[in-house]
Amino acid sequence: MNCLHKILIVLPLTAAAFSAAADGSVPADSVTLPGVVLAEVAVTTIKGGNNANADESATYIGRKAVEQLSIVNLKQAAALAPNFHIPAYGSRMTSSIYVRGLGARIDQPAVGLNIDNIPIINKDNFDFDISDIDRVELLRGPQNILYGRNTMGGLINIYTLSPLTYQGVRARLTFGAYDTYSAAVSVYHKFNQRLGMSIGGETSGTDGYFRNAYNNSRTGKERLSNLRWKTAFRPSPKVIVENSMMLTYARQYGYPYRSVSSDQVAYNDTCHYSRFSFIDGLTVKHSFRGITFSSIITAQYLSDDMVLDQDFTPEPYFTLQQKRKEWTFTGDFVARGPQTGKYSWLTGLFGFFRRSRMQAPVNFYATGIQKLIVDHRNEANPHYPIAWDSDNFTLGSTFIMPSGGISVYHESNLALGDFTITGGLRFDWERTDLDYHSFCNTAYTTYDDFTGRPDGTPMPVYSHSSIVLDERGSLQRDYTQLLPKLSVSYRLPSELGNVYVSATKGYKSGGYNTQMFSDFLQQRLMKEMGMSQQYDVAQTVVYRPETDWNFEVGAHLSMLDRRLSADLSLFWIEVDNQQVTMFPEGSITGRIMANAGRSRSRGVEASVVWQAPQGWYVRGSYGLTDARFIDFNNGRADYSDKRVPYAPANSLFLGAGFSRRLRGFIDGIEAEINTTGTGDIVWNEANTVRQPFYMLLNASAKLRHRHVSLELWARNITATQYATFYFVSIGNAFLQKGNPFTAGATLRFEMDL
Amino acid sequence: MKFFQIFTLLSLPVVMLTSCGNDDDNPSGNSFSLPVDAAGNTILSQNISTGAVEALPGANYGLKGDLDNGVLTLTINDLQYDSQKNAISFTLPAARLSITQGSFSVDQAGDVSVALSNGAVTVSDLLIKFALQTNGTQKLVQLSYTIDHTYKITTVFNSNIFVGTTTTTDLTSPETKPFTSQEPMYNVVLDRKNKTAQLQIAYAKFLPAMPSLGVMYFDKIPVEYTADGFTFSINEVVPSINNTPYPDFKVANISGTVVAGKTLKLTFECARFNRKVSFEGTAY
Repeated sequence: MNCLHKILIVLPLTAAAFSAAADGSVPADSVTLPGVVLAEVAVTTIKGGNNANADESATYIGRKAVEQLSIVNLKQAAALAPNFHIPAYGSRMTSSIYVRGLGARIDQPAVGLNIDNIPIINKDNFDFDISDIDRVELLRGPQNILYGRNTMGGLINIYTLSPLTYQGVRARLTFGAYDTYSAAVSVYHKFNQRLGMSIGGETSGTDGYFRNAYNNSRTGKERLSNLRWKTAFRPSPKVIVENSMMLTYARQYGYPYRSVSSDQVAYNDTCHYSRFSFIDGLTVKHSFRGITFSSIITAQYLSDDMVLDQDFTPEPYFTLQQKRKEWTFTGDFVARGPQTGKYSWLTGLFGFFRRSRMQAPVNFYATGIQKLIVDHRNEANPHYPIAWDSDNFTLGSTFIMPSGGISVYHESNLALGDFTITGGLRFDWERTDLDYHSFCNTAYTTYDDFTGRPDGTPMPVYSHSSIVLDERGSLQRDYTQLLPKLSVSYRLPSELGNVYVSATKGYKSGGYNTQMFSDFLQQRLMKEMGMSQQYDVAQTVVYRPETDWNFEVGAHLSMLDRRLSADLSLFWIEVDNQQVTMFPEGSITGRIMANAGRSRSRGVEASVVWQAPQGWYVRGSYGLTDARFIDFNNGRADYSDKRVPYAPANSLFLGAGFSRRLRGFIDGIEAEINTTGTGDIVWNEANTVRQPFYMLLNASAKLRHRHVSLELWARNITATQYATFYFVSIGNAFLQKGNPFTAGATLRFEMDL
Repeated sequence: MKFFQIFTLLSLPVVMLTSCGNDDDNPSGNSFSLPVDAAGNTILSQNISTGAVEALPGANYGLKGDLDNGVLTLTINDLQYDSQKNAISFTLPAARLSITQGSFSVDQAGDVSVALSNGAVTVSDLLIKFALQTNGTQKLVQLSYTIDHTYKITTVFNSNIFVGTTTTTDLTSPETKPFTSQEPMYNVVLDRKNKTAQLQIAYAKFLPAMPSLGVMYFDKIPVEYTADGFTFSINEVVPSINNTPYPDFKVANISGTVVAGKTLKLTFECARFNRKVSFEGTAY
């Protein structure tokens, strides 16, 4: 019986089991209610608000749904949105987000993330758990007009509870399979009508789902913790000040990459990732004569350290370390006109500065030296073989990367009867520098096996060579972008909703692929030995900006007295200079970015939320994407008309549940069952390796007594086997399997004050 | 092209110049100054009457260009144009400097009489050519002239770099379509004292799947001088790469003809790959 059969049998049985027990009902929270924004939430909504996002595809997840689905991070939220794919693999540093076929695994992201209006600039800091989420918005299509760089695929807005709108104590304790646990507590207090403050913390961990067969240790183990402090101050009715501060810490052990040939996770060198981040954002909103002036100023600090067994085999090939410290400052200043009347507008000025310092040594060990360097050289000249003087050496690299930019943007909305015309324009200027220092000091000996010698005597030494590399240089690049947007929305009669058509240009920044430096140094080393050729550094590490045009037609519908909402959209995206992540062929590891020419993505998205009677609800979403290269030749093969890798062709979410009040010791009951579908996914540009479409089944049931609730949950109930990631390193193929069946319990305490 | 940058820096830095007028010898205007050391060249002197060719020590040259006025002034010091005569030194009056396809040149056929410390000579058929490099600089590749209508002087620089087409034919299957490549670059380094040449091949690509190698050096190939250059040939030689012999890449029947500042024709056979390699290229 395949997994789809199992799911189809389980769903109706579960529904029947609950329907007879309920007594009374509580309206469930809406997942998608277009155009409706609660006034309290608008306190921190600077660029959104009434009628915002009416001309684009968006998925909204309210607090109730967040709690029903236990959403604490991006991956969990993305499951509800069509064509939004965030695979779980590697570490908390790898937040690869794919929207409508657009995405990236390293360097610049295609999707932006804001938390309480704070733009998280570095994609490597996207993946951390957040408790007390009040609302999540997943916006699809370019958001560059209002949100700037690296939002060409979409944007995720996460808002946490405000102490001015919620006061109480919340605590949560979770235990699950594989020694998974989490504990969180937060206090929300309002000192008076003008000042509120909240503080919360969380710690969580898991011992990992897989084992490293080399040493029988668990791999994928992680320990996380975070602290949040939020202050909301309203000194006057027209001024709101809100400060959000977050400290996060993550420590992970092992990457569960499985060899395709051996079907085992087995590598000898240590792999770990640790990260500390500090994020603080101050939002000030002031209304003056009908115009709202807002400022969002942020400071972000990131310190992380990644060590990888880069070959992921039991042999001592090489390891890569990436140790980084980074500061980022952003400022966004927005002026917004009245939102009533026929004409409304918004204008802003954004600037950022970022400075990153990174050390990225690659350590070669005995097997790596022998197989990647010595054997290669001795094959070309077996009569004068070489041997390395030591069983390890380091290719060192240090990078300093300052970057900054400034933007000016404007958006206008003109209402003409039932039509609304929206026009926007943004001008971006950005400069990015790279100062690099790469170095190596090693040596080898050449032996003479050509000149005759008496039998039994060892080869005499022919020569001894030192390799001392010391490469320094600087690169600078400037980029400018002019990004327009035009949309027309028509309000349907009887408050049915609206239909829209839009055209928007998006943009993802250019930059430098620092991982290529170790490969560049390796080529330099080989050149010193008389082998191979040297890359041109600038040509290899620099990648240009990527731009796209997104054309879309869609509808947001609300029926049955707003109990049934549906969204539908058709999109067509043309991408120029697409940045594609590739693994170079041959005995080289690491990843490179390339501007792949042109690609095109077409698709459809649909979502529905039905708040049925008696507290029942049904949620569903489906996305179909056909993303292909139009023009991509990497010099070795032509991949034109091949599918873009790593982005799924289909995404599916189906869920049903209910929430009821009861009389008795158990005064409330909730239940939810849902299934997600993903795929197929092609893993390489040649489209020769793929992950077929797969479905996962999840369920939860919660019982409540006054302020305390106990939830039992299970994920991947049918134990579906699937892969979330695939890559090839030094000729070996690896994949990461998805998480297996897990189950657990969560105890919650929530008392409103 | 990194091979040439590294190579010319190592062997003949004096022949490199830029067209920007920021040289210390010419503090103002759009001009250049290029000294050429005697140690970096060999003088081939052909007696037009008898046809005899002598290979003589190099001369010191000084070239000064004025791009604004389109002229070049040549100073020649310690020119030994006949082993039986003393060396002479003189400065030619400014000659017209042309730019053809981005490369500088002087082509002055007429007679110019120049005074010496004890007498005078007539210089004719002055030909100076530069080759535009990919980095925008101009490299001096050809310098020839005639003294007193009697001695045809060809300056052969120690380093002679050529680019062109390399053609590889299969010796075991001659009817197979030859493999051609524009990637390989050739440098013939002349050793006048020992009357030998070193052949250097960079970016060697004689087969589609040939592994990338460093610069191949073929040493001590015997040389015979001609009126306008030299030939070199040897039965077989083992190349070195990075100061290490590579016996498997031994080549046989190397035969090359250099026309100084103009062309190289080269053939050799590679036993390991059963291939015959031919090259025809122009000075770079």
